[in-house]
Amino acid sequence: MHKLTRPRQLGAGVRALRLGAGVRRAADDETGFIMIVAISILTALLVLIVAVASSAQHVNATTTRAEASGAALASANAGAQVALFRLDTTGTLTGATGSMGNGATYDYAVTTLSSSSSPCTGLWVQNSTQSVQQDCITSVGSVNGVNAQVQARVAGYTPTTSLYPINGVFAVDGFYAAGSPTGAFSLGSNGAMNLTNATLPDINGDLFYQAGQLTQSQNSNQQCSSPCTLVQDSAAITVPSVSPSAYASAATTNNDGAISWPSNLSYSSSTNSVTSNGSNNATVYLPAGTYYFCSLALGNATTIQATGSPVKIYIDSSSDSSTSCPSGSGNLTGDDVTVTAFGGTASNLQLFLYGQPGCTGTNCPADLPQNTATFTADVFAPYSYENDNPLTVTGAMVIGYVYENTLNVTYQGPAASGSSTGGTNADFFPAREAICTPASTPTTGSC
Amino acid sequence: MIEVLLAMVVLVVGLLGVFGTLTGASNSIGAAERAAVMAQAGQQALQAAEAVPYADLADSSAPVQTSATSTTNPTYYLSGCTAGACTAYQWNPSSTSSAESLAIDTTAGKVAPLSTAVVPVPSTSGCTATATANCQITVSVYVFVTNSTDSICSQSGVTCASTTSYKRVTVAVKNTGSGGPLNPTYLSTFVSNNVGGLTDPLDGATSSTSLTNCLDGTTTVACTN
Repeated sequence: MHKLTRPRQLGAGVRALRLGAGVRRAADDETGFIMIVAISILTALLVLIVAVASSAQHVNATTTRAEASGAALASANAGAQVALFRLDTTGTLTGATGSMGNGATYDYAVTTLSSSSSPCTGLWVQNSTQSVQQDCITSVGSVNGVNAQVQARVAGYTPTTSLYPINGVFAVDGFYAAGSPTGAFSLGSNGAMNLTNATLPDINGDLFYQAGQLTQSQNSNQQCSSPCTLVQDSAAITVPSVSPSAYASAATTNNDGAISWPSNLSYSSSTNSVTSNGSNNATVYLPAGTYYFCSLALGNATTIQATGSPVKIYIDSSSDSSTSCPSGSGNLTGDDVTVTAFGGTASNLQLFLYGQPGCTGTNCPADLPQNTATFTADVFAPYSYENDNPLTVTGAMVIGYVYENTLNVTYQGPAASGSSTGGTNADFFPAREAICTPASTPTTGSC
Repeated sequence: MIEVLLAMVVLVVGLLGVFGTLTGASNSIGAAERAAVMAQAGQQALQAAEAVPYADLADSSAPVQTSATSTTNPTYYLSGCTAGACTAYQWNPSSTSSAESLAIDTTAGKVAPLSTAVVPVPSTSGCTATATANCQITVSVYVFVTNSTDSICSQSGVTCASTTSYKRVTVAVKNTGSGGPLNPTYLSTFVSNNVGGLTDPLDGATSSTSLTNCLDGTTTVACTN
């Protein structure tokens, strides 16, 4: 028994001893446990730190990018404006780059659009009476590596040489004025400009004169001064012309038959002439179209009112060898005559007088009304003499010689048949603008 | 015991790092928020200026220089100043020759040279452009309109109708509250005098039967489409 129990007792003691050693060993094994936990916590915190820092950095980067994107778009728009200005000024299609400061730059390209299938933003622009030309401006703005791109379709009337070289009145052979010529217009002549009795500061525009041909009042208050500006021409102004074939064409095909003449005016289709029965205050309405006459002898206070646009009135004369106009014809007469373009826009009504080519100064026929005439129209009569009092023109005029005591002119803007300057560059205007997919260089084509 | 102490030290250092990082991140995000507000305020000011008719596109009063020493103050780049009011602005900070005359029109000018934009503290009231105590973000918006001459005008054979080819609108937004960003945000563009009128083919092109209309494929439509 003892042999049996002792070993069990001894065994228990040994197990107790062994357990104590195990505990100690276990305790010994947990050395560094706290450090491990601490490092684990630190690792978790490190991950958290990295995530927070990364997030903050991302927010920063996004904000910076958004900020640069706005500035880049502004630069791209600036480039498009520069391109448009240069296109209008020189007609150049060459692209260019530029700086806007603070690291912002632009880079633009310009392409000509030749047909409705030419790729660009917006739709093909067309006009039923005038030719329209179109270009496509594509501009890229860049700031700190962030790009923005815009595109604009620009359209402008194809320029033609203006019939009206002066933005106002061009008196080919000379000009005499008294009183106070008034209005926003320019005045020019290749001949003598006798303005001795005129007060000129009421002219808001330029006085174009040839050397030695200008005579002003000795009174300094009456001489040309701001806003009137004296401009001496270095050469004679080229006298524009209208082909005789234009008169011949109007004689063949015209809208004279569409006019409903008032009772006091009679129209003869055989002589293409209009005469008055002496009654006054008639109004003649002209729908859009071309009209041809040899003479218009109107009663007093007659109004010619265009009801559409464009209206072209050709008054031929016996000086035209291709016409059958009788001798002494070729004029528009009547007191207190008013000619008004549709909508009050002068270029909507063009009045052409054949006159007497080759005549000079007061030897030219007096083809326009001699006592009170008011034109809201562009009047082209380079071989006619105008001696009216008063004459009021809203529009542009080319006349052979002018003798006026009272002249009021308001130049509206580009005269008929061309641009205001007779230049060769179209005046472009934005037809459609769009923001495109960003690119580092201008992407011509569809946006 | 030593191990516990060491672990505590490590934890404290780590927590300090975390705290520092969180503080930095908070400041950074705050600065980013202010930068975003500055960018938005700048774009709004630029768009408002672009919408002004060309004839009225001018500073409504002469901009005033408030610092001649700090390059982070947008008015530093003003010049020709008399009694604080200035006549020119250097649009390119890195080029003193880039100064342009300011377009100032006290009668028709529609652009305020200086205004204040604010963002209120959430759930508070009383934050206005003139009383900024309860504002979380306060920025000053400078708008300088200058007369710009295109470089082609100096080329031989080129005649420009006016010494002012177009107007340059420079918007500078500066954070006037605490914290960053310290540098202003700049936006700049040009506005030209393209007002249309008789020579604009699109003038009056409001229907498919107008003298000017547009072609959508093979269909004639109004250019307003």
